[in-house]
Amino acid sequence: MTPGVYVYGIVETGSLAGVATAGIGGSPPALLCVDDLTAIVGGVDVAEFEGEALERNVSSPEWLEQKVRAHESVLEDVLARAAVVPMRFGSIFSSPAGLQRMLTEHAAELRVALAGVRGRTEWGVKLHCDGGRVVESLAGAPADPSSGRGYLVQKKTQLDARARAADVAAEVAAHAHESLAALADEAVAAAPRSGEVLNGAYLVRDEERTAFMRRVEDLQRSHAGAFVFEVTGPWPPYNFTNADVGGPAS
Amino acid sequence: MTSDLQRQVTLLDLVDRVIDKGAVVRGQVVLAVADVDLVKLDLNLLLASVEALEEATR
Repeated sequence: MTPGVYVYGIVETGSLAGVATAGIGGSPPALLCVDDLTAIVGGVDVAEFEGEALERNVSSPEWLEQKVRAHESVLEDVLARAAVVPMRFGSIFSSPAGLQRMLTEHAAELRVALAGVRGRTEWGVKLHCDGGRVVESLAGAPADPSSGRGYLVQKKTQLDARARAADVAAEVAAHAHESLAALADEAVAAAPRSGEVLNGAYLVRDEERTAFMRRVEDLQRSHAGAFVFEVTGPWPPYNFTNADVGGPAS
Repeated sequence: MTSDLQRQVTLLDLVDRVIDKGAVVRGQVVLAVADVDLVKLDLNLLLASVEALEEATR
């Protein structure tokens, strides 16, 4: 057992009295303050996160899911009460002194990051597209396939529709992203996974949340049929505080 | 604030953010040796594992 200090995130000192949710090690995290910055920390066994043990652990979906969910649960608890800079999974310091040094050395960047997310949360919007239905809607009513000419016309229409479907889906995705980004402070579109045409993240001010949600619903109404919008959130602002806050060079 | 379009968070949603994003301390290199303060977490290893998981649940 090698004790380590796991860091979930950074908040402004005084914004959070404590965290009751169980963390990675099973017990609720503690707070470590350095002036106006407070780290949410928990004790972990470093041995679990190193070398062969880590290799074994991450190849177990149960281990990974439990740890990732614990990381997120702590931050969601914090997010409900304070502005937070979420750290990436697995940010572990070998001693409280090392963490204190990082907080001191990078206080300026962390303050800027906190100011950028105060009063805002991250929302995820995915757009799924049923390619077959887009083709159908583009091809329109089928021509009479019993005649030779009808068959050829139908074949041609379908090929044209198939060629245009990807463009249509990309246009819908681009329009949706633009329209949602207009209501957000910041927006990023990640590479869509299979079946998706948009995988966006949006940093939304609390007072814009209702308008943002309404915009997604409007988009869904205008693109009913082949397109399905899915919203997740509020998330800690993972996508909008992904700066490298320094630390010892390796 | 709820919407019909809101859905449950999946492990993949989590991993996309928790493992892939968030503030980092000097890249992902987190080494617990001598004067280096952090514990190394092999991100590539984690991501490979998640991709395998994604394939398996499809």
